[in-house]
Amino acid sequence: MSLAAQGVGVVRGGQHLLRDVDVAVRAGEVLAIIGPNGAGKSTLLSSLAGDQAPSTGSVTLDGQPLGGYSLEALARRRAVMRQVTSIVFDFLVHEVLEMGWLPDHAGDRGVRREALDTLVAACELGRLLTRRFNTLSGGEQQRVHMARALLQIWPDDTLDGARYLLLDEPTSSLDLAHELLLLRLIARRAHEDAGAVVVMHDLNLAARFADRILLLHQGEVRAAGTTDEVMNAELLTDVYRTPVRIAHDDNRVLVLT
Amino acid sequence: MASSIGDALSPAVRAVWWTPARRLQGLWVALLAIAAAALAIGAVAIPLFSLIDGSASLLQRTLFTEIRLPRVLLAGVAGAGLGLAGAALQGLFRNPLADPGLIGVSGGAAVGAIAMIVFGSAVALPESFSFYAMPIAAVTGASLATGFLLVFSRVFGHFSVVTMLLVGVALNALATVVIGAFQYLSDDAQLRTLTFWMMGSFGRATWPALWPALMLMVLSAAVLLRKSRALDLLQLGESEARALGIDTVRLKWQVVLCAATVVGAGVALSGIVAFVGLVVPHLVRLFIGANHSLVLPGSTLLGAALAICADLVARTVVVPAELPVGLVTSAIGAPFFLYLIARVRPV
Amino acid sequence: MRRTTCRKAFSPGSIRRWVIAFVAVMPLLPSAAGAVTQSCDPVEDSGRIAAAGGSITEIIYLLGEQERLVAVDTTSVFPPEAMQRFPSLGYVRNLSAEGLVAMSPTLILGEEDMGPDEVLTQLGRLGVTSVRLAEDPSAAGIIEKVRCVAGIIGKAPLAQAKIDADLQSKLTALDALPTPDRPARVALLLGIRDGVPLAAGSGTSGDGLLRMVRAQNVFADVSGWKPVSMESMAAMQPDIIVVPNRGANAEGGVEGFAAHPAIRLTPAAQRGRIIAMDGMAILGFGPRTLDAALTLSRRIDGALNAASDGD
Repeated sequence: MSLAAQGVGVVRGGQHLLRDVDVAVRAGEVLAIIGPNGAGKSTLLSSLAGDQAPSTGSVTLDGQPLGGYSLEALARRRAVMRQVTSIVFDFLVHEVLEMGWLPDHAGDRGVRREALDTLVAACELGRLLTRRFNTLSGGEQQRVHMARALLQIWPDDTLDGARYLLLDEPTSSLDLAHELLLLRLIARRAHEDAGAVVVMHDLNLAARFADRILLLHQGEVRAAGTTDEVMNAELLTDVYRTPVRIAHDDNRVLVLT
Repeated sequence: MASSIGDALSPAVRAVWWTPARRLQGLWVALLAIAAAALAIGAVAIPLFSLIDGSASLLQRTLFTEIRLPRVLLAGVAGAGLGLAGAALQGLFRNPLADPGLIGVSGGAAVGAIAMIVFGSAVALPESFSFYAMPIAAVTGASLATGFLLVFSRVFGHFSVVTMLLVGVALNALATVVIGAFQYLSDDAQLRTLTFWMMGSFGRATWPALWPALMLMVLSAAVLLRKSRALDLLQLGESEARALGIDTVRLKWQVVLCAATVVGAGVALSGIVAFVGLVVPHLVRLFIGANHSLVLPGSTLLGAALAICADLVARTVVVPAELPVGLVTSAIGAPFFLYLIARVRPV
Repeated sequence: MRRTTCRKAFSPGSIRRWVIAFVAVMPLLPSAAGAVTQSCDPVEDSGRIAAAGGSITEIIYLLGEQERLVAVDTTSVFPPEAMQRFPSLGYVRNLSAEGLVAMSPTLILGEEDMGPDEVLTQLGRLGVTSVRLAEDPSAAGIIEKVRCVAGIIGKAPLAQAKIDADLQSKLTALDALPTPDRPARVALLLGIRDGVPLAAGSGTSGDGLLRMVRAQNVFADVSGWKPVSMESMAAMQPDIIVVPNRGANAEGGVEGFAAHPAIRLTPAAQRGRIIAMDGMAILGFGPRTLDAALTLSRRIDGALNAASDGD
């Protein structure tokens, strides 16, 4: 039971964006994808989401290729959140949030209400709900999209198989407090019954919240494994072309530059 | 759909949320009131209750059923179609300036209808089919324009919104050329028919001509009205909509073809009535909400109300003559369009 | 994936359902009966007439039956009283069904181009008779139109008296015009639209007028009113250009018209042979078009003679 890429390569306009990537995320864990700019992090996330078919290799969900699922079925199994894009029309925040509720979710009104109330509280959206989405700050918009993604994979007892969260730098615009709030939320949801794949920029946060880390460099997997295995000073210094030191504090791995 | 919006959240928020649905109901009331007024007012006075209590003369009765009722109905459905198609296309293109005219839909419909005006008499059509000829020609023209759009986007291998808009610009230029050529080929009488047809009028409504167009429009409108959730999700972006289970390629085709049918069938009977498709959805978003479960029905209702109103003005200000209704809608729409351009940042 | 989804959207099943639904309802739909006649026989009731065409209004005045008129169209400029006295129906091609009904006419009498047809159909259903007069842009056609209008409103003997007293002599005078060996090469222009002259080709009222005065229409090869390029204006070498006053005034009078880039290269402009006349008089094809044709004939002769004197 996993969302897995086997030998995935992506070629666009003659450029190898990804080459022979193997990765799998299982329910109950957070997988962080790190790497310098242009390493192919977002491309890998898109491939895992089924948004763009890989040029070589395959992506499977519970052993079945993504192409074998209908878009509706896939939507029930995994939620995707990319970097925030603007919305042209003046939607209200609650309207954007409710876009995450799938019409074929088995839950009745009560379930939906409970889900919304829970997520509104968890993402601290209470005071924003009736505001226009476009008037929100980038960080506030990210919190709304996060809640929307979590609503999309709200537990549904009638559905077999684990759920997955695919997030592309979900906290890039957030202040410190909200960044930690959201990452804790992601980790908690993952540890319940969902697998999370999170593209991250901040190595310290990746070290702190990820169960496993995938280091991409120039479209290839440079390292994959537990935090201790990947957060290696020599490796990071080489990949980021910046001197990096690793420190340990209170069982936490700290990356220092 | 509209009534379920927000019902799942806390009571304080819900207290604000029921208003959009109420406003939609208000629009219904306004439409019915305007339609009743349009049915009662005209060059010949027909008190509506006189039709019910039987005191109306035979002439009044016949005038009501044969002229005024089909006319108000045509204005209503053509306006509703333009409003609905405008709203759906704006949602599809994520562009508040999108209009059935913009992507070549109206242009294609006009080419089809004008071809029928100029060449129709040369083709001997059976009497019972002649009323289908105009709407079918216009819908065919509109669909050909959108079909061209498909072929073109396939060649590019990518169906982006920008490609669509640019091809729309080219299609409109092409339609202008073809219409110009038809104008050159047409004789004097056809030319004058054409000129007035292009300014738009609801005065040509007769029952036999109305039914075929009405059927096409109702079927397509029913499909469009069911796309509100998909169009909402599309606002997040195409990839996001797909991630939420929307087949965006199919959605685009359904919306474009149904909008073409709704617009084409209306254009066939009323000519080009400008700006309704642009103004109406914008007003609905402003006063009711951006959610497509509000915008689509709202634009349908307001489009009908606006067109009936514009027609009422067109046929009562210079009695016993009348103004082309396109002049009235353009007089309202053109300044509004400039205001929109000034207000909306280019997308 | 794209291919399969497209196929789903256009599945044969869904298209078939549409077609079946459509065809099933087709025979249930009523069809309209034609309500417009084109005959000169007297109609049942011609007590209240809506006239859609300048020549018709003119003829009704000629017959002294203007008391029967209830409304006239925008081309009914002669006699001037008509437009002041009666409500306007608007343009003859763009009649309003309900506006007409409000005037409660018993008869709508129109020129060949009256419309739209749908409006006449609607009026037919309300029991209003519409008669469309055949268009024949010739001197005989004008006489025939007078007879026809009079016939329809039951005044045939009166019409014959008017014709005998006045019109017949003009017709004879026109018929007596000599046919020159080398007829004058004339262009009849409606005016200049978007910088391009709009010329009378064959089958137009303008062409009919030029035939009446035995002139040669230089644009007889094109049919209908057509925009013509500057180059073809120059190439056609018209000796004389005839233009309605309104068309000339739009360019600032005859001098301004002659100076227009599209006109000034023609012999007509260079020799000052531009003839401006009342547009409805020359092109309306009512009784006074007979007078206008005689006047035009004299002015063409005058222009040609004056020019040849100058040579």
